[in-house]
Amino acid sequence: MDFTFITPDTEKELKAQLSDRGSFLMAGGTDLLVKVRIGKIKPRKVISTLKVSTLHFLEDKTDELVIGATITHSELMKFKPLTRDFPILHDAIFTIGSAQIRNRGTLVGNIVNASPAGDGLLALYLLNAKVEFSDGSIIPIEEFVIGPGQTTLPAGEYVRAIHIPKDKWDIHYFEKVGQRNSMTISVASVGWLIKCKNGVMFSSERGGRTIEEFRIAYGSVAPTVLRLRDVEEFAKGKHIDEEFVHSISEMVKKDVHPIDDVRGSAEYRKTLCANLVYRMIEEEVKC
Amino acid sequence: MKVSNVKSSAVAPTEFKVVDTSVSKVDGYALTKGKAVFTDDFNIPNALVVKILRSRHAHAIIKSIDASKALALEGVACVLTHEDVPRVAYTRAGQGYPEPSPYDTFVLDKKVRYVGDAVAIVAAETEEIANRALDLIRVEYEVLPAVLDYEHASDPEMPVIHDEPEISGAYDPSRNIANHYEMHIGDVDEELAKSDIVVEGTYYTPNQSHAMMETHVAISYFDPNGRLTIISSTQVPYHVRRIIRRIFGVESRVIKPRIGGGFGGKQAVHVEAYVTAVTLKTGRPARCVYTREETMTASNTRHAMRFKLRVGASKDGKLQAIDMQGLSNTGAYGEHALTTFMVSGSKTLPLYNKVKAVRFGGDIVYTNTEPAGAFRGYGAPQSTFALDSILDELAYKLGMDPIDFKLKNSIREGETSPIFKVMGEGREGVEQIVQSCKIEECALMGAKHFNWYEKKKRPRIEKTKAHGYGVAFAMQGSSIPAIDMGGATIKMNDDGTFNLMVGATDLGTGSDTILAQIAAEVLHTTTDKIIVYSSDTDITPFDKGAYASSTTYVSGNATKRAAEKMAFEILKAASEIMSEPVEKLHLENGKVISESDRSLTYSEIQTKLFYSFKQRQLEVTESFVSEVSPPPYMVSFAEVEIDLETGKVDVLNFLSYVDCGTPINPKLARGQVEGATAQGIGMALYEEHVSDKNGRIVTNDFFTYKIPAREDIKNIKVEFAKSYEPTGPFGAKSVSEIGLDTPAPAIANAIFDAIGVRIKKLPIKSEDMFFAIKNMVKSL
Repeated sequence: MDFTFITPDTEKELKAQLSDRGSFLMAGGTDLLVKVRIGKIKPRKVISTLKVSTLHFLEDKTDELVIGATITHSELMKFKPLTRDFPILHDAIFTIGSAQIRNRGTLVGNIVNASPAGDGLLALYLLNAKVEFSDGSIIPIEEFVIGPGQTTLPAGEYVRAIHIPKDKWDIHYFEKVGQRNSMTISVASVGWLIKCKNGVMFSSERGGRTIEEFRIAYGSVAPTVLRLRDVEEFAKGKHIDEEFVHSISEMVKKDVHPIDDVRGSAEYRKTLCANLVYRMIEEEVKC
Repeated sequence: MKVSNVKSSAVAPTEFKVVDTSVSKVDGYALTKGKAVFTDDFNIPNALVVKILRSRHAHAIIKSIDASKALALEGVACVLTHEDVPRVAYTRAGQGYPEPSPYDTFVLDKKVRYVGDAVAIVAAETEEIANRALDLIRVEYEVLPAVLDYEHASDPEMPVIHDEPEISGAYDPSRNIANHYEMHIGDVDEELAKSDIVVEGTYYTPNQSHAMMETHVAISYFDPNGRLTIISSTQVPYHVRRIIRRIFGVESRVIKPRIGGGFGGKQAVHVEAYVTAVTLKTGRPARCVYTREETMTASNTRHAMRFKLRVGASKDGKLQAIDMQGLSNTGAYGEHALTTFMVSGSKTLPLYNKVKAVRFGGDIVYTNTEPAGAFRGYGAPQSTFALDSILDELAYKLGMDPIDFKLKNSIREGETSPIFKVMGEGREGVEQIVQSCKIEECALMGAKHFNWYEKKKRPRIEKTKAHGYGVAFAMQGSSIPAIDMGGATIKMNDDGTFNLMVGATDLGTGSDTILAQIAAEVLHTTTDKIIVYSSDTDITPFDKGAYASSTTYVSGNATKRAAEKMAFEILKAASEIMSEPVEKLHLENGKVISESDRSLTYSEIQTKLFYSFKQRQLEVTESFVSEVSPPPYMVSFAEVEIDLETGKVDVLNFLSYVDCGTPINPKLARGQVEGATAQGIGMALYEEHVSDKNGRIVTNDFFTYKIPAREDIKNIKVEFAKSYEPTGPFGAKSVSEIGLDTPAPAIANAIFDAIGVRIKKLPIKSEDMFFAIKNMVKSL
């Protein structure tokens, strides 16, 4: 397994290196090195992004957060505005691998890997994040990922950053069901964001508050992370109660298309997905 | 020899100076500093890299092998096939001779019996060339139908896996039965018929991978004088030497360096035969390092077993009879087949010695799957899961707390069980009266520490979470009685240190450390003055190897005897030098001190003996063979939380109360139990071999094969009962295996306690739990 390893210092050098066929970009290497090791990828050249200082940035703007290509999961989790403005992303990243993996792995790496089980990816789908390419173009994350490991990234380009628009959400939830509690790939994962008309209430209260906006996404149950638009539409104006959750649970069952694999059967995954929405009732805050 | 001046094993535990303290491991520094200690760290110049071509078929006859293209590749030294190696049937099992395992294995054969079986040995200048050579070998197979389901292995129409004429020691190879065993005491059917309550059940435990961090590795070379030397990551260097001689007719020296874990996986000859074949053929050093995939799919696994059980009790909670019928899958070859199965009975059934009748038996069958072998617990974790689960169910049906029920029927100090005599390992056992057994303390104190009775008051189902509490009882053994022997040599140096040479094999267990502690205790010195050399067959005395929970007990007793003899030699020499009678001398702090308050340091004594006074080297060798196998006992408590919406089981708390006699090194003993508990949780909840329809193991790496990670083992607590085994060194019994016996039944019992569902098949995966819960809800 011989390959050339290159560590460019500037984005210009980086781009120049990318023109060769058989070259792979590497940040933390937590996905790439696994694939190289099992022989799934046989690179001729591996280009590290880690020495390119202009890719290591976090910009907390008024309307968006911009995350540079070499920001690790651990760095993100320590970044205060993340917990404040994007708790769902924080929760999702927290379930990635282990502390050691999070110290190496990057969020940009997570999206370029384009796994249907990508934990960070699921949160970014919910947040309507956008992907910035090295050619300056910016596209929605859902247009970026097209299948397992497949993206619309043009040859010779790289992902420079992720843009996440700021928005206020009243309720956020993320859960990953894996075979064990850490260092695991999800059997199924779910996340949702809810905006309530007139604010939230606690489960003990009664009131006329309803859902204003609803976003829900699943991981590991389709070729890509899946946003359930029909559920999102249906939820508008509803209360979070038994009847509502039962209805969307039925819709979820129809929407997800999991497969049988070594981690779990399709039937388990489907039923699991339908069950996970019941967490909404158990949560303290509702609308 | 009786030595009145030397403190013998009769001392009370409070008087220990070195034993029963947590001294640092003798190899701890080297390991944390990343020093070169492992087999693969040995840099033998000019070594060929050895790779094995493995079968892609589960069952096939090799019609032809064309290695011409591989041999033409520059840098390929040799390609060996079944035609190039001696055709000698042997067993890979590293056991006492003659081995109770069938001789059904060849270094290479013209038949392959599982996906991963060896087809050819390739040796090349580099790993890359060796791998390319593997791709260039053309093998023509006649593919045979395969036996993949062990429950149907001896069905009439099944293909015969071992039809070679050379096989010996197998029970009925024509029906794929490697071994068969049965025993009974009393009339089980009659006692069950008379019982007020009878419970029946069938229990399944899966294959399990050892998942030791260091894979199998061996290096072989001729030393300058032409003696074949094998450096190997083995638990059984002396058995390796013997088996290599059986196969190749060659004498050798086997060196075991630091081992990166074994768990029984290295109680077999895996790699040594391949490198030896290459060195004998080429005259050159040869090195073979198994990949993780090879270790996971082409070495050994835990025997998957099925137990059909019937137990009966009277209304007042007296256990009357146990009927235990097993079936064990030994895979393609029969290493450890009979003995693991017998241990399933012999290391569980004596625990409940109040029964009137016991029956145990079954077949160990061949299949076209990865060969099973020794694995920590050696059959006992499988049977303890079955037996303890069904006794828990029986207690429930009797309306008794499982602790009360199991205590009422279990063995106590001063008692015996006829099973000790009836069942040994591969043959009859030995009678023994249990001289140390604190199971009552383990259960009662354990319940107290765990807060069992308070916890049981909690509601079981709250919203979407269920909580449950389970308890499991276990015993194991300490060595294989009347078979296991270990030797120890102690040599005194003129700097006041001693060399302790033992055949005992430290595989990460800490045996080098605890043996040094035992020697230091006897010799009234500190562990840093005991320099341990272990497991070099040309230098250290024989030891059976590291298995069967025997090192502390057997090698520990050998070390203690040798140290006692050395102490006497020191006193004798000092008496001559000081012209004082031996009776007026004693050992203290590395010195001999006389009643008249004169003293000589060990260094002064040996220096005098070297250069100026009755010149001689003080050196002694002693051996110990176990006459009994005193069982350690343990009671474990599990608290589980089940997510009713996902089926996920979390083990929130796991407490074990252990009677292992005197823990020679409490920290290391605790580590043994904690590690075994983690492996037991893995067996209970996560670990499973998933194979495709052709018999290829899909879970062949740590990506797909899940051992528990830190977050999965939550809160493990280990407590030790005050116990003293009179036959053990300073009161010690074993502690290395027993910890694996209880997690699965304790967790399964806790799950029943939580939601009323009895899980009888391991691992208890979230998915299976999920559907079990769904079915339960449906039937309500």
